[in-house]
Formats: sequence, C-alpha cells, structure tokens
Amino acid sequence: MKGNAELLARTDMIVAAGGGERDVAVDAAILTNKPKSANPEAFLNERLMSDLRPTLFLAQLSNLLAGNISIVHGVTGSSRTFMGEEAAGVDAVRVALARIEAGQSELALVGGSHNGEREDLLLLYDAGGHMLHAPFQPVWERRSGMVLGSLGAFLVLEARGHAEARNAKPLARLARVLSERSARPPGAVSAALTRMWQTLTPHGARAGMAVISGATGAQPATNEERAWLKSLAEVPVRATGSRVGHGLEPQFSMNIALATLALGREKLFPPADSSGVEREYEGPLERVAVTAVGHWRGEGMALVEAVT
Amino acid sequence: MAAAGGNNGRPVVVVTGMGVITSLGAGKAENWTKLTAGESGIHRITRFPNEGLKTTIAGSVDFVPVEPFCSTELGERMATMVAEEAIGESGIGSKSDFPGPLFLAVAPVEIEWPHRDVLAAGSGANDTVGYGDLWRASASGRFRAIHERCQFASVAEHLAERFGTKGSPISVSTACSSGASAIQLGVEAIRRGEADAALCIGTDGSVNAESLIRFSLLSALSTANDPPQAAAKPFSKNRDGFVMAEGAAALVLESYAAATARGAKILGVLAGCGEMADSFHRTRSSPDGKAIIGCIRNAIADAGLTPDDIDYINPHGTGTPENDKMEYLGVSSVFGERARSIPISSNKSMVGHTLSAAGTVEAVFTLLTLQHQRLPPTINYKVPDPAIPLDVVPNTARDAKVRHALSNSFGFGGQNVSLLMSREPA
Repeated sequence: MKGNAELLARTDMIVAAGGGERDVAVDAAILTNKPKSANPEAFLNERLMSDLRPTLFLAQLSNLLAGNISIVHGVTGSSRTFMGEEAAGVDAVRVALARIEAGQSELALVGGSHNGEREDLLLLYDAGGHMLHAPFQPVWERRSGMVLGSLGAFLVLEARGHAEARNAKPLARLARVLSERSARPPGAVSAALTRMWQTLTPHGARAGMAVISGATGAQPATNEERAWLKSLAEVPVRATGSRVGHGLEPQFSMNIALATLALGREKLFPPADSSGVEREYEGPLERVAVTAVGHWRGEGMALVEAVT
Repeated sequence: MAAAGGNNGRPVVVVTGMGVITSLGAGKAENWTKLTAGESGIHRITRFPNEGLKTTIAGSVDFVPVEPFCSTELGERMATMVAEEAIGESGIGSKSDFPGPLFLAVAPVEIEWPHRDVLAAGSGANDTVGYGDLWRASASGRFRAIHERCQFASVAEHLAERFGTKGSPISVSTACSSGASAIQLGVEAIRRGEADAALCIGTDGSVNAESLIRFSLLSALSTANDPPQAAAKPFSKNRDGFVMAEGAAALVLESYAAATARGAKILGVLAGCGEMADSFHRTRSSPDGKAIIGCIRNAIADAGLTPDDIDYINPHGTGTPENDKMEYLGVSSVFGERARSIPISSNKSMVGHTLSAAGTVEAVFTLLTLQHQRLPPTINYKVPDPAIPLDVVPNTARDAKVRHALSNSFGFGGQNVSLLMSREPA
C-alpha cells in the first residue's frame, strides 16, 4: 500500500489515542512561581501567553496522530480517533472490522501509539493507585500495579476478496472482536471474559489455541483475569505487559499483531512468568484469543485465526 | 414513505429526540427562539481574569455551575442535561435503560491547572515545584478522584452508567468535526443492524485560560472584543477569527422501522454522511479544496441525492479568514451556479464555535430548521465579502421551504465530515 495513492485515498483510518505531551519545564516554572505572584491567575495568563508553543500544544489534540498519518502517508478515506484508554484500542479494531464485514469499508488502517515515559501520565495513574513501584516483576507475579511501556502498533485490515484481488498476502484472519463495559462490581471482569470467550469459542474447542493477554497488573482487574484463565487450564497464556510494559490504547492492536506473527510462524513465543499462569508450549497454533481488560474500565477480546 | 429499506436496502436512520445547550440557554425551545431572533450568546469572560489576553470574550455556558472549574466536569454535566432532554422527548427505553450504544464527541481530557495546583499544594514542596513533587503527592492515595476525572473514558463511562446505554461507549475526537463524527458512527451502527437505536452526544466545556490562549496563539480567535456580541462575523469581509464557545447537544437516532413500530414521532432523517480526510497540513485545508469538496459530495451521494436536491446549508462557518474562504470554494465547486442562491447561515455567528460539540449542536439546529421551515440568520453581516457571494441569510431569520439540508464540520488534523438531513424519509 505504501505510496499507492489510489489505495491510500480510500483507506479508512481509526486511531486510538490519548493526548500529546506537555512542556513539563513550563508547567514546573509556573507551579513554582504562581503562588509567589501578587495575582496568581494573571501570572498564569502571562506565562502561558509567552511560554506555550503552538507546535507542542497542537500535538495535545488526540486526533493529530491521525492527522499526521494522513499528511505523511496520504491515508484520506476517512479518519476517526477514539479516546478512552484500553477500551478505545479495542473499539477501534472492533468498529473497523464491523465496517468491513458490513461492506461499509474494504480497507482500514487501525491502531495507535503510546509514550510510556511521560511524567504527567505516570503521576495520573499513580494517583489512581495503579502503578507498580520498584522492583520490576512480570504481570502475574505482581501483587498490584502497571508498568507503562512505549509502543505503537497498526494493523491493515482488509476484506479478503479485496486483498486477494490485489495479490496481497493475508497474514491472519481477524474472526471477531468483542467489547463490553460495566461499573465493575466484583466478578464483573471474570463474567465478561467468560461471556466473550463463549461467544468466540461456541463449541469449546481449545486445541491449537492460545491466549495473548493484555493484563495490566492493575487490580482487581488482573486478579479476575487470572482467575478466569485458570478455568482454561490447558490453554497456554502470554501477557505482553511482562515484556514490553502496558501501552494502554495500542496494547490491543499490538497483541493482535503479535498473535498474527505467532500464527504465521506456527509457534507461540516463550513464557515470562514463574507464577504458574504461563507455561511452555511447543504445540500447534491455529487460533489466538487476545484479551484486553482495562486498568479501570473496558473489557475486550479478539479471535485471530491462521489463514487456511 | 416505504422507507424501512431505504437507500441500498439498508435501514433508514431517523431522529426521535434532541437536546441542546449553548450560551443562549438550555433546551431546544429557548435556543430556537433566540437563534431565530438573531440573539448572540457571546459575552465577556468572567470565569477567569482576562489580564494579558488578546481575546476576552467567549460563548461560555456560565449558567451550569462547576466549582472549582473543570472543563471535563462541565462537559459531562452539559452532556447529561442534553441527553435527558433528548431521551425524554423520544420516549425511548425506560429510565437508565437506553436500548442502544453511546457515541460521544468530547474534548480531549487533560489534567487541568486546578488539578496541578491541588497536587502542588499537597506535595508540601515549598521553594520549587516540579513534576517529581506532583508525582510524590499523587502516589499518596489522597487524589484518586483526579485519576478517574482525567481518564479519557470517564465522561462516556459516567453517561453510560447513568443512561444505561448498551455495550462499550465510544468517545470520538476529530477535533472540530467530532460532533458530526459521533452522529456518523451512530448512523453506521444502525445501518449495520448492530442496533435499532443510538445515543449520539457532543459536548465541550473548554473555556479555560490555557485552551483560550492556545487558540489565541494560533491567531484563530477574533480579537474584536467590544462589543462581544458583534465579534463572530462569518462570511463578512472584516471577519477576524472564531469565538470560542461551550455547549452540548444530543440526538436519539433510531431505525425508521423501530421508531414507527413503537409509534415514535419522527423529527427528521439522517439521510447521509460524508467524510474525506485532508493530507495537506495540520491546520489548513488543501488549497484546491479537494477534501472539502469530496466530503460534501460523499454526503450527498450517501443519501442517494444530487446537489440540486439541497435546499439549505448549515456551514462550518467559523468566521476565520481561512475557513470561510475554503468553505466557499468547496460549496461553489459542488453546487456551481446554484451556490449563490442556496441559503447558507452560520449558527456560530450567535453561539460561537462549540468545538467538539459543534457538529452535534449544529445538527440539532439544522433539524429544527427543517422542522420549523425557518432559517436562522447569520448575524453581524454588515460588510459582505465580494469573494464569497453567498446568500448567508443576513442578520434576519426568514421562512423557507427546506426538504434536504447539509451540515458541514471541519477540524484541525485534516478532518472533514458532512451530514445530510431530511425532513421526511425518502
């Protein structure tokens, strides 16, 4: 697709994104000097008028990631940005797939990116009590807490007939994407995962199946996901948060991309866990369920299948 | 009106409930009365001091109190109010049980200055304050509410919980076309057969010092502060920028079949949606108008109509020199000679630019225009721009026959969305 203006001009884009970075030095100088000022609010106006940089604050618009993709790559069929942490990442893929299945779209670019080293975001998740403080541990070995990761992942989703007509090689089949929400009374996460799993695997077949989990380490969500995974005893599990950290919006599209790569190699990548949730698996790989349980809200699941 | 199957055999999407808040007031009745009377909601900002600012006016919604002020909180409260109005009018579902998904256009959520001030005070730092101090305070467990308030998902989450919408709520941002995108997502979901109904809301409470200063530094805002009511001058030769404003609007969308089956009153039809992204520049349209032209044409084609069918245009019409020039190029390219005679009036001349909410607010106003067969004016039109020869319904409302109307929304990041609304199902 790269450089193919005709294809890119009818590619539908859904980006899942948060906001852009702030100039933390400007913020710190204001916070230091504002209380000492005779008129703190006038001081804030004055500093912002002189210190804000248009190039930086434009990037704080969530949709400017999509805007830059349009400019750099020429993707212009449509452009939508979903906001809302992990759930936005799930719904971006779900809606892109639904549009293709319904004939509203033939070709889509979907995904996002995340910078995990922003002080303003680290403190926000810490305010919610969701961060792991040192030392580092894999997701399933933690009592509680996320480790943020910097990562980006985009998927090209395409109607099979459209892909075959242009001789593009299908890498995997995205069979289904589901999402749910609740205010998360105790047990709601496990129940949602159970419901979605039953929808994705109606006949209960688990041979050649693995789970790539987006577990964050935040609680109680991760404990509920761990309890649900125990009910799938023989299905191998991998939590990518243990290896690359948690990237919020794009974690789900990244995990679908990793599932696709594993299916293409017919081999699951090794475990990173000594708690017993993840175990060695050398068997065949035909289908991968990708989970996404948001650190605060939102539950999702995708089924990715090897192309036959 | 055998419209259940509609264009291309897909469900026809109708509107059965609407709610709106702007600086003119709360609710459809007050807004429509003032809008057709040519009243302006733009006023001097009193929410924060205006020392050192080039622009000191806005269409802020000061009658919904939020103390201490928080833009996301105001956005959520206005969204709640318009959703109650829209659901109440439609009579759909039951209390806290809306039978469909939520699509919300909302401004990107940020940690705001009052949050930083609280964390700075809580850190106990006495000489210099850095992010390390804020972080230390945040990790104390005393500021959990800031985490929840500043999640991008939080407004939609609270609305979904309150109104009992179904499934995962979607918060969309396409900058100043977000409100139209939320409606477009709802239309598409109903057309796919995923739902018989959708709740589409746009809301924006962004008039705080930093947001105002950002737009000011981009030279996007009018600086004609005196008198405030005369600042927004879309399509005028002396237009000098948009006026920042707040507001919210909600639409209950339903499939025609579901609405008629329950005997709901149909307020209008969401007949078509068009979109085309621009790859030219982050804040400017391609000089050839390609994406704007394509977007309008896509909406008309999506509705199964032709340009000759369009009786009225509710433009993006911000009153910036650039937008109005490019929108004229787009409209004149699509409609040709007819462009001079199709009435096109900018609500933003009266309510300002409600940013993320604008597409939804203006969709409600367009549907009210169809319902009342009366065109709200473009006020402050004293100095026509000879380069923009359009019938802008200057200064005074007038009656007209309107079957099909187009509403444009354009945003930073190359976003362009057009909605086509009709009075009755085709």
